Amino acid sequence: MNHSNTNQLAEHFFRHNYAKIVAVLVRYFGLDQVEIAEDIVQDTLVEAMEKWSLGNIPQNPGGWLMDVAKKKTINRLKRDQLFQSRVIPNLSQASFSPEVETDSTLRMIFACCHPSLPDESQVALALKTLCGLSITEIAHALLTNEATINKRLYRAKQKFRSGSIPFDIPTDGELPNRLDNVFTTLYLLFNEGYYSLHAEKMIRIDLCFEAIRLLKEVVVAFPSSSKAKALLALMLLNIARFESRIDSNRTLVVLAEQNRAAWDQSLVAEGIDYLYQSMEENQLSQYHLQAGIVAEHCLAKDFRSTNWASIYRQYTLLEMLDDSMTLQLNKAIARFYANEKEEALAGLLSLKSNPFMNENALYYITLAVFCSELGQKEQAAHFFETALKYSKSDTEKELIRKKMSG
Amino acid sequence: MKQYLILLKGKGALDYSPEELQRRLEAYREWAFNLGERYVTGQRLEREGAHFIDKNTIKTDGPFLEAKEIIAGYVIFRADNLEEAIEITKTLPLIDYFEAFVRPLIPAD
Repeated sequence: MNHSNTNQLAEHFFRHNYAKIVAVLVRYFGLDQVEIAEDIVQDTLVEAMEKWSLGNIPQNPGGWLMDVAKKKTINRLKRDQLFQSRVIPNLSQASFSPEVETDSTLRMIFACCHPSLPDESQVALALKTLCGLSITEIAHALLTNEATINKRLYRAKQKFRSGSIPFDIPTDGELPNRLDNVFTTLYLLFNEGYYSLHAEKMIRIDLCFEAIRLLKEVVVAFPSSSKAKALLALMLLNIARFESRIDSNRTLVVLAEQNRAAWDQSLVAEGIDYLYQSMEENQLSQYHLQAGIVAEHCLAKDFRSTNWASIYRQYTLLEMLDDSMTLQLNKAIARFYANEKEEALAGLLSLKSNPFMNENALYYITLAVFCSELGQKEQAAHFFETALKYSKSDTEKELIRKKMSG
Repeated sequence: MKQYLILLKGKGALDYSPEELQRRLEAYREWAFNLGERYVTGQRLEREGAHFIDKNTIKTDGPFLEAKEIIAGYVIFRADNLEEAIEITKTLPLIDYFEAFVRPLIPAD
């Protein structure tokens, strides 16, 4: 993936420093004053752009930003009686060491993924405060408008102001639950990037890599969390296949037809490495199983020689943690290619009256493909027709017609 | 002429060989299926709840304030006998944070 573009490097540099400095300042301001911190950092970045565009780029740009932000904070606070007693004593003796930066970022991650914030707000907040995206960029990435994003952020910041969300790193008994919340939010963030077909490709890849970057911070801070490593493996193994999932017309390419040579082998290796490390504890989570399934695909030479039996078995285990119908559909597909063809077809047919399945085009496409592979041509044609009736997207209809004629 | 030394330091690079990747996936498979066969279900419990001493006395109606009153969740798993169940319980990561009771379930039928 080409990230070496200079403009983009600059953009990433500013975004990440934005997020880092906001997190450090909030440490001294308190979470309820996050907006002031954001204002100051915004100011600092504008000043940097003005100075640096003339060619005077300091030797340590990150440190320069932190220093200027610190000075601006002190200036602002001098004017502001309210915070005199609270912040200045802390700030004047504060050292902005890398340890403080990392610690502040972690606290910010826990605050933004706090369970008392609504899900939608969490993703928007993560993008604004943890990734440094602008309101316009967030609206674009989440396929909505700026007013909606502002509303979601407003709700979140109201919570911050109410003082009910701590700016700290949870300990002991509370930690596993709070980490689970962080995983959920980062997985949401990743999926926003991975599954949206509408937003610009660069933005979507960015969202995925932001989720990976933040999760890596969590993995470093909590090396004993096997769940964190399993989720990281899942994200890396998915992003490795990103380029081949969508063709030049922005249409989804089915797995069997994806160009496996385009899968990023270094990301696959990194993903497998984290999956391997995630076995340290005897805890098998939904992230382990999902990553294990994707790993089977990533290491298979082609669609047919994939270890479908392993995939089917992992879906069977996953079933205990996730009772969704999508899982049932995927499980049936794995079972079919694991050479239990008749059983898979019968199992899928028995779900016909389920409300999720009975008007679902994907369900009928799967039935049709099963029948046609089993030589039941008439049945296959019937199911393809039904799929056409329920399909809601043009690209999908095109795909069905192609399969019918082939 | 001076003498020079070249120091080689590992970069901690990943082993990209397909064989190594396959070996790791294999190890994962074995681990997951071994654990998965025993693992039946597990769930967290919400913080609120009631603790009955007898029919008329509710000791706590939550949220539980003291850590020792928290019942945080449960895990149901399969084991051949109590000794094995105890061994498996020792591997539970949560054992560092919580007390655990291991009791055989009596089948419903």
